Order: sequence, then structure tokens, then C-alpha cells
Amino acid sequence: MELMLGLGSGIAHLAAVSEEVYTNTHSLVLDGVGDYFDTNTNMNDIIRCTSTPGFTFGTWVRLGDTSSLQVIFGSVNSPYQAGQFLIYFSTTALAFIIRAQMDSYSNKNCSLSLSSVAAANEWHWIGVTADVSGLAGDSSNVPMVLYHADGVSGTITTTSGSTMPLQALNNYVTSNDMDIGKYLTTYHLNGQFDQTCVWNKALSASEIEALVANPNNDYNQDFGNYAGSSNLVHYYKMDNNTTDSGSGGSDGTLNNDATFTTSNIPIS
Amino acid sequence: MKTYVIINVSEVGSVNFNKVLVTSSETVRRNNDNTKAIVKYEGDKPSFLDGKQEYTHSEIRSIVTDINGEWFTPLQE
Repeated sequence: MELMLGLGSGIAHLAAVSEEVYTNTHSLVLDGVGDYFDTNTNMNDIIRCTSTPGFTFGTWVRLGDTSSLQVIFGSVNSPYQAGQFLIYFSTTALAFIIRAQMDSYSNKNCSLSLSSVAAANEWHWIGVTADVSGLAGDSSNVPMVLYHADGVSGTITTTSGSTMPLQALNNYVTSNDMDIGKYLTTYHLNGQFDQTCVWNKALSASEIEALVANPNNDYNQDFGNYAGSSNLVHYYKMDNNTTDSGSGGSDGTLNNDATFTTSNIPIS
Repeated sequence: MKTYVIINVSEVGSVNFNKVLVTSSETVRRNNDNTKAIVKYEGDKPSFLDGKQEYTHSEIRSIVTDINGEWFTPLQE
């Protein structure tokens, strides 16, 4: 709710402007055995960045255990060298890998990892950004950043340095959907997801700080340093439905016993 | 209480997916050589699963995350 101060008939008065207030009530829960959330889109156009300044994949995630490799976002082509996109927790680390090929079919990849950040039964915000704005040509290297935020302390850590040529990124391709909480048939996540988002620009560090500080805000509205609402292509609020509240409109599908819970939603 | 059982893939065709917490034969979790599958149910055990060993969530998680087991494959990196 926004309060506006105005003058009328020489008397100061307050006028309230009505605005929908978002309440985060649910999160997605997966069993780490067979459950997953299918976004029903391969997200090729977003990852390629051929007509956009970059991308950000981000979500709140709560691990039920740290016993194995557990995938947050996962999609892969066959053969995998032409298109592989993975953000995952190993038993201790958070990692990201993307693969694609140059026009010559030579294989390229960007791989990033943050060690000692996995922890069970607490919320994490994880994200990956790629920024293609201002790059000069196909051989330019696309800077990518892997983010992790501890949902308890709010501490944000990042890593970067590994890059991918723009031409390879532009060639990224897969015919398979981007899944949340699953990769292939082997890697499932045991835990919860909330506020799962894909933007068609690289969010800045200050924007991500704002998201981390406000886990229950509506990310379709700008607030603080966050100015990404107009770039939000896919937005799964996980509020007891699979609706995509982003501009992409690709509603998800719950598979097997994937469901929603009111327990342990992110608390700011 | 949700319970898991492992069945042979040849038995997937006899599963009534209205009585288990698995969407379809296409989404059922299968092992590496596609000979076994995992189905989950809640409440009374469906009759077509009679005689099958039951597992709790923690027990089945231990099975599917065993890096030396038949449900796990190394990540291609």
C-alpha cells in the first residue's frame, strides 16, 4: 500500500492507493525419489540470449538431506554436448555447468562451483547469471556468476571466472524441458522449492541482495534495488498451483507425488 | 504415511495408477538397466503390490542414492 500526500482545498490529506499484497503461503515439496516439476518449456531462447541481454535462473530451495547429488534446474540434449544446463547441490557444494557447441561443433562449457554451502533443513537462495550485454562478437566470452545465499544468515557468496564463448551460448539447444528438482532419471532433489524464477537479463548483485532479503515478496513487482519484474519470463510462485506468473506463461506440471506444503515456507 | 515398493518393469503395465502416487508409466522412476521401477502409495497397500517389500522414505532414499547401486549413474561432466 502506498500513501500519497496531496493538497486539496488548502487542506493536507492522505489518499491510499490500492495495491494487491502478495502472501507466500506454500512451497513445492519433492521426495528425492521420483517427484519433479516440469516447466513444459526447454528455455532454449532464454539461455541462448540471442535477443536479450542475459539470463538469471534463481530459486529458493530447502534440502531435506545432503546425501547425494541433487538437481535444482536440469535439462539436457542428446547428445549432451550440444545442450546441457545443470544447477545442483553435491553433498557439500553448489555447482553449475552449461554446455554448448561452436559452429564448428567444438564443445564448450562453463563450470562454476561453491564449496561448503550445502546444508539440510534450511533455505538457500541459489542463482546463476549470464551477461551478454556489451559483448563485441561471437568469440567474446560470456561472464557467468553462480550465487548462493544462506537463508538463515543472509550471507551471499559468489564465484565466477569460467566463461563460455557467445557463439556457443547462442547455439545452445535441447528438445527436452527444463525440469525443477530432476535431471535425467537419476538425480532428484529431496526438499522444497519456492519463488522459482527465470529472468531474461543478468540481475545485478544488488538486485539479488534485495531478493534474498525479501523471500516472500512478489517478484513481479520491483522493490528496493530489485528492478527485474519486467524481465521475469518464468515465475513459479509454488503457491498451491503450477501457474507461471511470468510473461512466458508456461504453466508447470507436477509429476508423481510432487505437491505443495504450507510447512517451512521462507521466512524473512 | 507414504510407502515405497520396488517392482519389476514388466509389472508396470499391471499398475493401477489411480491407486499409487505415480503419474504414469512414463514418469515412474526406473533403475539404470530399466529392469526395476519404484512406485509409492499412501494408506492401504494396493492388491497388485501384494508380496512386495515395503520401504520407508529414508530407506528408499538410501537405495537410490547409493553410488554403487543400480539406481545411480555418474554425472556426465
